[in-house]
This record gives sequence, structure tokens and C-alpha cells, in this order.
Amino acid sequence: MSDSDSVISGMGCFCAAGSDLASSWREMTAGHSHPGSPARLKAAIKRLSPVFAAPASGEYKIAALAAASMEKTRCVLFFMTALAEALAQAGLDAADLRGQRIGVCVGTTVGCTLNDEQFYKEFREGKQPGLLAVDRFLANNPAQYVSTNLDLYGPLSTLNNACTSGVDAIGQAREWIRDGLCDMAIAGGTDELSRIPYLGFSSLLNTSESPCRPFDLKRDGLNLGEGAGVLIMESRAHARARGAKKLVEVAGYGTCGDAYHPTAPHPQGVGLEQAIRSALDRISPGEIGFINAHGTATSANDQVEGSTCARVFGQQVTVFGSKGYTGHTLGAAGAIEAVFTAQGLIMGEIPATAGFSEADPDCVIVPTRSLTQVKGGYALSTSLAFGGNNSALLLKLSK
Amino acid sequence: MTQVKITGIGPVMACGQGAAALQAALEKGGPVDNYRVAEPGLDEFVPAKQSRRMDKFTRMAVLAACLALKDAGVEADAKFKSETGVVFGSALGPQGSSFSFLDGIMDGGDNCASSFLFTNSVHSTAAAQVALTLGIRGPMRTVTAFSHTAGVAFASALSWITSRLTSRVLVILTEETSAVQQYGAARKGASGPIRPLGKGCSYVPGEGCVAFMLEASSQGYCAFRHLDPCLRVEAAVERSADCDMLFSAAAGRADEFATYCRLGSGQTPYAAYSPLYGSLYAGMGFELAIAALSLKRQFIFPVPGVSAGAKSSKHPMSGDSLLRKVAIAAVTGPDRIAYAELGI
Repeated sequence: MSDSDSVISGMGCFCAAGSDLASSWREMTAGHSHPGSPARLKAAIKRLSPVFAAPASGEYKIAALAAASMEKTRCVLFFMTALAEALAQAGLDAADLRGQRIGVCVGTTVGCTLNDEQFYKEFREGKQPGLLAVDRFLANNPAQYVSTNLDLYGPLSTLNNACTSGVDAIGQAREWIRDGLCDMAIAGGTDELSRIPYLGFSSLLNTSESPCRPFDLKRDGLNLGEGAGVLIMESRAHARARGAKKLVEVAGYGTCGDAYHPTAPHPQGVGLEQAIRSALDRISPGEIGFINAHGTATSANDQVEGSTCARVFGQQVTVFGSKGYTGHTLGAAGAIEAVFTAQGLIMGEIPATAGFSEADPDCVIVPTRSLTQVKGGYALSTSLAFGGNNSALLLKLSK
Repeated sequence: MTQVKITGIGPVMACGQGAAALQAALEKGGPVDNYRVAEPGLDEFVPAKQSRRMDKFTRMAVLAACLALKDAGVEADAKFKSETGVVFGSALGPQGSSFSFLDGIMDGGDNCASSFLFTNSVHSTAAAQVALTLGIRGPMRTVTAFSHTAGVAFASALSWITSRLTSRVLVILTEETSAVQQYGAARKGASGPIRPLGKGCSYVPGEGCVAFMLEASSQGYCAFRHLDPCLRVEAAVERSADCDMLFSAAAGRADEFATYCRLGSGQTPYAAYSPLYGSLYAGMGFELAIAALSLKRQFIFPVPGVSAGAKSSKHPMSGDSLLRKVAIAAVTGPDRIAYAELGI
């Protein structure tokens, strides 16, 4: 196995920060954050939390990539939009991919669940509803949709590892490329705002009624968001053969469980530390330029993540959290954050952590307060999830 | 390349729980008329305080994992906990908790959303509960991609073991049915009983779980010889030509009929056991468990729906047989097959 098994030749994202990577990065580096009203979700609950909605439908750029035959979910629309951007950056035309050994790995939570309330209401009432909702669900499994629509001939997988899904999709694609199951992979994550997670997270009492404050002393919960992040990954040999420009390389990936609690992270970050050390297999912690942390702004996550990163990398490690710009996009989060991590490496700077103002001694680390120059050829993105799953992705700047 | 063996299996099906029960059901043969799994009892493995927090979907998974561990003779000691991974696959996820969550808000309003049901409605919760129960701190992954699910789940497990990320992996494939799914099947004209290679639409949604303990070991049921989660039909027919038997996940779905016919067009004796476990997107996992039992026993179990005297059939005849290598295949698209080979 080489130092970097997979290279990234294209990236795309679509989220509340912007309709593509360039606009998202511009907004983030300018410190602009756009939390909004959850009115569209029509949630009749006491604790309403702001949401980070993706740009309006006019921004979808998928015409050449999507069949018109079946109504597409927002999850699929987001992913296809980010994919169009990633393919363009990789110098690929969708038509050229037909029949190729290309895998598709997509992380999601809402995108793989049949939770059409209108359909289910009619079913409960014995109204014999039509099966359009079921057919739409079956046709919109994100990875299957992408693979089928682009007529690809590689493995496909939709991951629902809760909030680590996006980064785990990248990890799985890396395995496929390393194991020779495909030459190239489309990997990422996508999720849409939906009443079900909105009500669910509210029932768990871990949403905030104000814009989220990652790692802040007064943080009091997360805000949900939506969007997609996509990477075009390929083997070194494949990238070389087609003359692809290598943006960054996937230099490591680690994933470990806590075996501690169904929803809370291990207080000592046992699984997270193991995942980070596994991702850093071939380099020392000191070679890391910065970390894009999961930073959900819940009390437990940020305390565990901050203290674990401080333990592994030292208290002065440069950390930024992007959920103050995107909200918590669940199954998409790890992928969107991988895109931002790669962009930070390429640009040599990372944004301020939106929402953060006052350091919390329990978090130990202090995230970025302003646009920050970064050095070093490596960066890490961390994700934590329900069920005690922890994942870390190590990216390396291509020379 | 590291030789990965199946060292334990843990089936939880309507026809019984555990490898011995599956074998007995296979020997009895014939289709079953109810694919609903009885409420899984976990008392042998899990304290009641902990199992109360699990829904049926998760209980099936935890029970299957514990049965596979027991079948493999593996002890959940410190080494096991740190060197084991969990790959969980489900095509449709925890339907019971998902719809019960909706029931809660439809009956009581949005403020009555249940945190318990919400947590259990997340696909990966079952894997997390398996890890919690057994103390596993290795990698965990949950995949959900309809008929691709089993193939990519095994691909992850093999990758983790051969790359030495973990010594062992528990692969768990679980499907729970629901009134909504039964309604959908009926509306689509699924009539039953399941005729795996019948031309009409005869599928009946199944339910159940099967767990596998995979290890780099010299002992066990059988070894993985090959796995490709995406193969063209002709390539699968060609590859299976030197296999003693082909286990197919055909389960009476009309849209897969033509592709399964092409898959079975070679000379290799062909079997499908879905009438025993129901129509499942992750049916490849159940066929794989039956194939593993067949290899271990060196015995071909009666193929449901094939009478003992049907000598003209392409189906293999039941009885003792030398099985060195077998193929397992599931249609995943019009010209796509998830394909595995197991050998002694």
C-alpha cells in the first residue's frame, strides 16, 4: 500500500454556505453565516431551532446528469448538483463514464428512509394510498440513483452510519480502490432538512434555539442543516493515465466504536482517539496543519472532541468547525467537511469558527476566531455519531 | 492473500434461531407460510435492562450476532473487543421504529416525538447495540443499498481483515417487514407462494437476520474464494462454470426474472432457497449461510419447490455430495450481479 492510495481530482459542495465550493468558501472566509427560520418544516413544538437551508431550487445544476422519469428527492438533487461541480473540476464528462468501473459511495440518513408522512397518514386511515411515495423512495436511494443514472459498472453503497456517514463513504471508496474493486469512485454524502430528524433531535433535547456555537462556553446544542459534498476519487495509476490534476490525496482513514452508549460519546473519547491514531498511521501528530472538527455545538460532543484532539495533538493545535456555516447536515456532514478540509489545504487558510466567541476550558482547544493561515501538508477531518461511531480522515496536499 | 473463513453463523428466521435450527428447516425442506420472526428472546445473552431499550429490528441483530459468536466458539474477551469490527447491512432498515415514530407524532402531535423511537429508527443503531452488547470497539459500518447490501457488506469485511485493520468481522444482515411493506407488495400484485424462478410476481416480503463471524483462520465452515459486488451476468455465468453449485437469491420479483434466467443459463446446478426465508433484498446473505452449511455438511439440502424425482430439473438433487467450491449470486440490476464464491 502506498502512502496515499487514492487521489482526489474533483470536489463539489452544495449547502447553506453556498451553491458551490467557491461561493461557500467565499462566504465562510468572509465570516458570513446564514441560519434561518424552520418555518418550512411546520414543526409544532416548543423548542424551535434555526436551520441552515440549502440554496433555492434554481441553483440545482443537474440537467445533464439526471433522468426526468421519476421525481427526485432533495437529497438526490443536492448530491447531483455537487457531483456536477466535482466532475467538471476533475475534467470528466458524465457521458464518458458510462460502463466504466466506477464505484459510488454515499452517506445519508434521511435519503434512505421511507418517512413520507402524507402517504403514511393515508395508509393508517385505510385510504389505500397509491405507491408513488414508495416508488420515489425506491428510486432515490442516493448511491443507486447516481450509479443507475450515469450507467456505471462498479460497486455501490449507501451508508447510514448516522453522523459519520459522509466520511465513512469516503473511507469505503478508498477501500474499494485499494482492493481493485473499481478504478474511480464518486464518494460523499447528502441529506435534506426533514421533520423527522428535526423532531427527533428536539426530543433528545440537543438542539439550540439560537445559532449554534461550536466549542463555545455557552454552547447549548446543534442546528440542523442540509446539503451535499462530493469527491471524485481515483487510484494514482488511473489519475496518471488520464492526466488528471491531483488536488489532494487521501492519506489515512480510521474508524472505531466506543461501545459506551447508544447516543452519547465516550467521555474520554476512547474511540475517537483510536480512530485518529489509526488515520495517522504513517505520520506523526505534529505534521498536521489543522483539524476540521465535527463541532456540533452540543455539550458532550465538543467537550469530548476538543479534549481528545488536545490530548493527541496538543492544546495549540489549529482547529476550525464549519457547522456555524452549514448547520449539522447529518449524513452529509463528513463529506462536506472533507471538501472544506481539502480546500483549506489548497488555499493555505481556514475560516473563523462561526458562532464561537468564548473558550470553554473543558474543550481544552480554542478554535479559530478569524481567517487563519495554515501550514503543513496534512489536515484531518473528524466525525462522531450516534451509537459511538468515530471516524477520522487524513488528507494530504498533492505536490 | 489472507484466507478469510466463515467460522460461525447466527440465523434468526421464522423457521428457527441458530445454525442447528436452520439446518433442521433445510432438511425438512419446502416453503413456509409465515415469514414473520417471533419476538427474539435475548435472555441468554443480554440483561433485560439493556434489551428493553431495543426494538425488534435491533433484537434480531443482537441475537444473531450472539449466536454467530457462540457458533464460532469465540469468547468476547479483551482481545476480541479490540480486534473485531461490525459490518451491518439492511436494505430497508428498522421499519417498525420508523413507522412507530410517525404514529407518535400523528397521534399525539409533534411534541410527542419519541426520543427512544427516533434513536431506534436510525439504521446504524442496531450495529451500535451489537457493539455495546459485546463490547466491540473496532470499526463499525452500516450499509443500506437494496439488493447491493449483502455484497458490499461482505466486501467491507473482507477488506478490513485482509488489510489487517481487524482480525475478525461480524457481518450482520437484517430485514424487518411492516404492514406498509405488506400493503405495497399486495398493491404490486405479489401473490405468493414464492416461486424463485417463476415468471410472475410471486414475492412475499420476508423478515429475519443472519450474522457471520469472519476470521483469518484455518478452521471454520468454509473460506471466501472470491467476492465481486458488481459483475456482469455473463461474467458470473462464466466464473460459476467450475463451481459445484450456484446458490441464487432469486425470490419471485418479476423485474429480476429475466436476469436470473440468464444467470442460471450455464451448466452449474442451480438452487434458490428463498421460499424458506422470504423475499429479501439482502437475500444473498441468507443464501450464503445456506451455502456455508452445505459445504460444511457436504450435503445438498432439498431445494424448496423441487420434488425428489424431478431429474430433468437443473436444480441439484438433495443428498450427500462432494462440494468443493460453490457460487452465490444476487441480481442487483439489469446486467449486474453481486457474486461470491465459497470453498472448503
